[in-house]
Amino acid sequence: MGDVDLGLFVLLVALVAILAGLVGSLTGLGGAVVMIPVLVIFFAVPFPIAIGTGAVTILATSTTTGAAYVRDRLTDLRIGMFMEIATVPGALLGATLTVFLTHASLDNALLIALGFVLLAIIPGTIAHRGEELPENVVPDRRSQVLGLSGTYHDEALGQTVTYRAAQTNPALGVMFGAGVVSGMFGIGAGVFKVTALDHFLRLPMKISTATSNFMIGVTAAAGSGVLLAAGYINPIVAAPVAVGTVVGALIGSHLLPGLRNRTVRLLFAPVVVALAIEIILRGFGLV
Amino acid sequence: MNAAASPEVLPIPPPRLPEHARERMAIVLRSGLGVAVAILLAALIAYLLQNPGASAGSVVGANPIVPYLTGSGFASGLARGAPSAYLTLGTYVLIATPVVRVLTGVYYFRRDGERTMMWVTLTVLGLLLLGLFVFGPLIR
Repeated sequence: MGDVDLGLFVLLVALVAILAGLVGSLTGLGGAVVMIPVLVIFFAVPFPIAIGTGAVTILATSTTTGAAYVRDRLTDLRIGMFMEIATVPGALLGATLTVFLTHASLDNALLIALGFVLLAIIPGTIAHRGEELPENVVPDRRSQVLGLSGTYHDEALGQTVTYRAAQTNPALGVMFGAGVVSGMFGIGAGVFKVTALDHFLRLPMKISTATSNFMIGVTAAAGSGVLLAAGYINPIVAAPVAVGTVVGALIGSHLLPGLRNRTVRLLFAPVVVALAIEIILRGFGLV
Repeated sequence: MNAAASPEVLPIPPPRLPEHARERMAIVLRSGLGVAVAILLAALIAYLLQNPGASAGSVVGANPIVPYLTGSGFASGLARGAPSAYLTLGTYVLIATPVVRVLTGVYYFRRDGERTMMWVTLTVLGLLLLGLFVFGPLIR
C-alpha cells in the first residue's frame, strides 16, 4: 500500500475500520483486536504504528460505550478505580517494553507474542461466562474496608441485586497482567479484566462487563501517553481508524443487538484465528 | 463459605456516588470524545488538502506529528495553524478524556468525605500523570 494516494488510503482504512468496529462489537472482541492485524497485513502499516493506532481505537470505543454504562449505573466506579491501581502501572510497563523491544529490533518477537495473545483471547470470549449472579460470596478484609460492594436494578431479572467483591489480591494480579498486555499491544485486554472481575472478585456479569469497559479507557490512556511520546501514534492512521471503529461499534450496538451472542462469536472466531496465525507466520518470517 | 455465616462481613453501604456525578462523568466522556473527533477530522482533512498527491507510504512510516510532541514545537505549530499540530491536539484531547474522568472521581470522593477512595483515585491519577509527563518524555 506504500504507493497508494494518501486520501484513498485514509478512506480505505476508515471503511475497513467500520467493518472491524462492527465485527469487534458483535463478537465482543473489540475493534483493536481485529484492526491491528488488518493494518499490518493488508495496509503494510509498521507494527509499532499499528499498536499505537490500537491504543487510540480502544480509547475512542471505550469512551463511547463507557458513557452509556456509567449513566446506566452498571459501572462500579469504586471497584474500577481500585483495580486501576494495578492496570495503570501494568500498561506503563507494557508500553515501555514495546518501545524497548522495537528499539532493539525485536518487532518480530512482538508480532509473534501478539499472535499468541489473540489466540489466547478467543476461547475466553467464546466460553460461557461465570454465574449471572454469584452466590455465597465472602468479601475479604480489604473489600470491606474500601466498601467494594453495591446494588443495581437488573431489568432483565426484574430485581434489585446486591453484590460484594471477594479475593482482591488475585484480582489485582490478573489486572496487572491485563494492563501489561494492553499497554504492550494496544488492545483492550477486556477478556483478562473480565476474568478478574468475574472469577476472583465474583461480581455479577453485567457489573463486570461495564466496569471492565470503564477500566479499558483509563488503562489505554496510560499506555497511550508512552506510545505517543515514542512516536507510535500516527493520527493519519489513528484518526480514521478511531472514527471508523466507533461508527462500526455504534452500528453493531444499535442496529443489530439481537446478533450479539455466542453464535456470532463462533462465526467470527475463525477470522481472528486466521489473522493471528498470519501474524505469527510474519513474525517468524514465513510470509 | 456462606456470607451469612461470617460474623465479620460488614453490611453493604448505600450507593454513595450521586446520580448527578454519574451524569457529569458521562458528559465528560461524550464531550471529550466529540471534541477530539472533531479536531482530528478537521485536521486530517486540512492535512490531506495541504498534501495533495502524497503517498501513504511516505506519511505512515514518517509520523508527521513527531515535531509537535515537544512543548515549543506544539505551541508554535498551533500558532501557525499546522494541521499536524492540530492532529496532535486531537490525540491529546482523546487521551486526556479518561484522565479528566478520573479527576472527576477525585472531586466527588473528596466532596462526599470518602477519604480512602479519594486517595485511591488520586493514586490512579498520579500514575496516569507520571506516564504522560515522566515516562513518555523519558522514552522520547
